[in-house]
Amino acid sequence: MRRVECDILIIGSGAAGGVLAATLAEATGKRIVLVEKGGHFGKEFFTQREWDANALYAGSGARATSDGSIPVRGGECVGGGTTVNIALCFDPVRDVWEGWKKDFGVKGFSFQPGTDDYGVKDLNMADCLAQVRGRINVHTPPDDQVNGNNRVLETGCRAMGFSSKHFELNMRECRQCGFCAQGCAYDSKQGTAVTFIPDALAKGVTLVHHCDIERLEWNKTQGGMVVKGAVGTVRATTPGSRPNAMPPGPIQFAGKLVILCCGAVESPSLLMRSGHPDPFGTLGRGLILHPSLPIVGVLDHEIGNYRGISGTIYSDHFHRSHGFYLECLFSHPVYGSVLLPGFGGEHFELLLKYRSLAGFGAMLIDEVDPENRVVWDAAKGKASIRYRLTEGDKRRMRFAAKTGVETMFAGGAREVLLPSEERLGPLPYPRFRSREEAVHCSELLFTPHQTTVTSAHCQATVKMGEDPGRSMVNSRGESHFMRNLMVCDSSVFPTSCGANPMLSILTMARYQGRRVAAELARYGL
Amino acid sequence: MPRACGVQSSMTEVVNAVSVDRARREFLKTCMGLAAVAGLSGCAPLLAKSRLAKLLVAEPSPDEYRPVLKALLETVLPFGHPQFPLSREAMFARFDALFSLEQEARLAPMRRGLMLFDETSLFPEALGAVRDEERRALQAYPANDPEMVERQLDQKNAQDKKLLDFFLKKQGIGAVRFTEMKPADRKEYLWLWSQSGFGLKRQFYRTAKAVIMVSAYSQPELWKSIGYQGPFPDRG
Ligand SMILES: Cc1cc2nc3c(=O)[nH]c(=O)nc-3n(C[C@H](O)[C@H](O)[C@H](O)COP(=O)(O)OP(=O)(O)OC[C@H]3O[C@@H](n4cnc5c(N)ncnc54)[C@H](O)[C@@H]3O)c2cc1C
Repeated sequence: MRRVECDILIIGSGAAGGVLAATLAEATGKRIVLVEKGGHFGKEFFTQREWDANALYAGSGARATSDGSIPVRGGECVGGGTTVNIALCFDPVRDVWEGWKKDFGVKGFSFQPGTDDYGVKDLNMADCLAQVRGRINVHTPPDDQVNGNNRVLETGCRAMGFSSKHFELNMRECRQCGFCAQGCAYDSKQGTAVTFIPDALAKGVTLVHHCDIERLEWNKTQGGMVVKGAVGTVRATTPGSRPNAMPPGPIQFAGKLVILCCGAVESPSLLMRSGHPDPFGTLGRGLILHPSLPIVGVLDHEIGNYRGISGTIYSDHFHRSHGFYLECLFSHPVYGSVLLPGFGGEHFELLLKYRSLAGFGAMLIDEVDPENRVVWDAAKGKASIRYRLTEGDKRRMRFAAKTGVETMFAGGAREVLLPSEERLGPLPYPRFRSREEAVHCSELLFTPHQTTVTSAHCQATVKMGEDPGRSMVNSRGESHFMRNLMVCDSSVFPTSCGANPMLSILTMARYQGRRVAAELARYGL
Repeated sequence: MPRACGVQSSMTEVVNAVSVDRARREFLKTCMGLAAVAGLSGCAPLLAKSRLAKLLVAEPSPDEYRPVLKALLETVLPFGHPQFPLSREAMFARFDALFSLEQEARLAPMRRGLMLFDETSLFPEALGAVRDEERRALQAYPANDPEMVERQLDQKNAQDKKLLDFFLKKQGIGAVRFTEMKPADRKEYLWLWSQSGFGLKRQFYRTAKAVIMVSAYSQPELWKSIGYQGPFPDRG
């Protein structure tokens, strides 16, 4: 077996992994290896065809909850989710972090600029956020880049008396093609694959892609378990990918510090299949998905929808009171045709109005339920994602659906549909012909395989906190049960981070990277 | 944007093959669930014993399952619509290219899944695997005690029976097969599957619809009729 030695091994090159690699390379002279399961694709690979883009997604775009009913989308390529996401940026939600400090004993993560957490000069969330925002060019696009679809939400909110806002996005000179989720063909979207990861490579980090880490390796010593590396397999390079640093075949990595950044489905699975201790049965539990219900409007005129920036307008009007956002988004025909209810002539008539359709999602900040969890299924050799909406979340989702449907009408829609085949009172399925009919949303059951909610924000499966009875890692991201092992990605959030998570993850990774660089001795480096 | 077109298109094909594989895997899984017949006992009275036996034991031949597939495609897609651009032949060819039912042994469950779908009278029966799958889903949550789970399963069964009876009465037909129904009845019968109390049956509806939509709406002819211009000109 090929053996690769390094000081710091980072597994997963998504939002967190990319930032950590660059931050550690910039601040230390250590040998760093960044391992990624998916391929390394550049702009030349992105064809703007929905079907091709599956190559960039976890499970080739088919990852879902174990009953197949909720798609759980995630990136599986260099850049991870940041390569396929739609660039919506929310600063870390301070109240949520302060809540974690109170409820889970989380330490550090000061939001006051100039604070020196762990005695490290300027180590705080404010400064880390500023650094990340600068590198990925977070900004509000000018109002003339708001397309027709986003205007529908804006108009609807105004008419309803709800506040609406312009999104901040991490882009540079966007050509407004509308294909963010298929990978940016122009390097405009500033995901980690075109920002932090090239920075890391320029500083000498070795990137091994097409490499699936199968398990962590550890020693049992007098002082407890100590991680020593990981083993995996390098696959043949997908045609169209950039060349790889390692040839195909089994591979063993040895590292003094190992940092897991595989996202909220794969980080817990990797820990489970590696035999990481879980004495209190918390590993993988309390999965957060941010379930999102698409709401589709039919207007009586064409609007710009699939072209232009997907999301420029959102409403956080109900964030504090009911815990959901209305966020603009739109589907290309393959995904759209699957989502729209029904089939046959009626369904085709809807698609004939494709250019007059409007769409946004009602995205719920879901509550923690320990029964919602990720489990490593050894027989199938993959993670099993078990999730259902809690009764409380269903109640809020019904209200969000009703609010969304009314807003869509207020935005100019003549008809409104949900991706659902549930009978609602007199309606054979949720196709509302008038605003008054929105009341029937109160009958939605969100029956699996009947109503489609989607998820792209899995989180909270390897929770952070100071109590080993309730968390897997401490505030530094270090495992409570295995030395020199850190987890740093969306899985360490104790609950939902309160908004679309990318910028919260990037900021946390910057913070932990700078902290590790200042505390190398902790890890024998 | 300079691009090596030849490389690009062959690459596209490679990727395409991979992802098609995924989409059909989910459909296949559903059919497998339907076709797994362990514990199939209660339904004998509804079907002539010999026909049921054949359905469960014999490997269906293309002459048997092809008409079901054809009827399904004709129900999901509006070939009669004046603006629908694809001919039945073109669509069947496309579907065959994605799902070579004849060639691939591992698609066998799909063949039998289609045969079971065709048997209208089996719809309300708690095929063992369908009920097992539902039981597993209900049991995954400790709040559901075993007795409650069985009660819920019985209720779902009763619900499906009612659905079918209502459908047959409304359409004024006997329990003829899907392939023998008039187009309007076929539509209602397919819809029935989306309304079932059992997740696996709804999933059959959903995934069958999905694979057919995906094979249709990935085609530029359809993009044209709905006014979708596809990739930016420089990526065309
Ligand atoms: C379609 C889509 C749209 C989104 N839109 C937005 C948005 O607009 N705004 C926003 O804030 N968020 C958005 N998100 C969510 C955001 O992208 C994710 O929350 C974020 O990328 C998660 O970061 P992470 O570091 O936890 O994991 P990821 O970014 O998912 O990275 C994990 C990486 O680890 C790799 N990996 C996994 N297992 C292994 C293994 N065993 N061996 C080696 N490597 C492995 C994966 O391939 C992946 O590349 C979107 C997500 C999706 C999928």
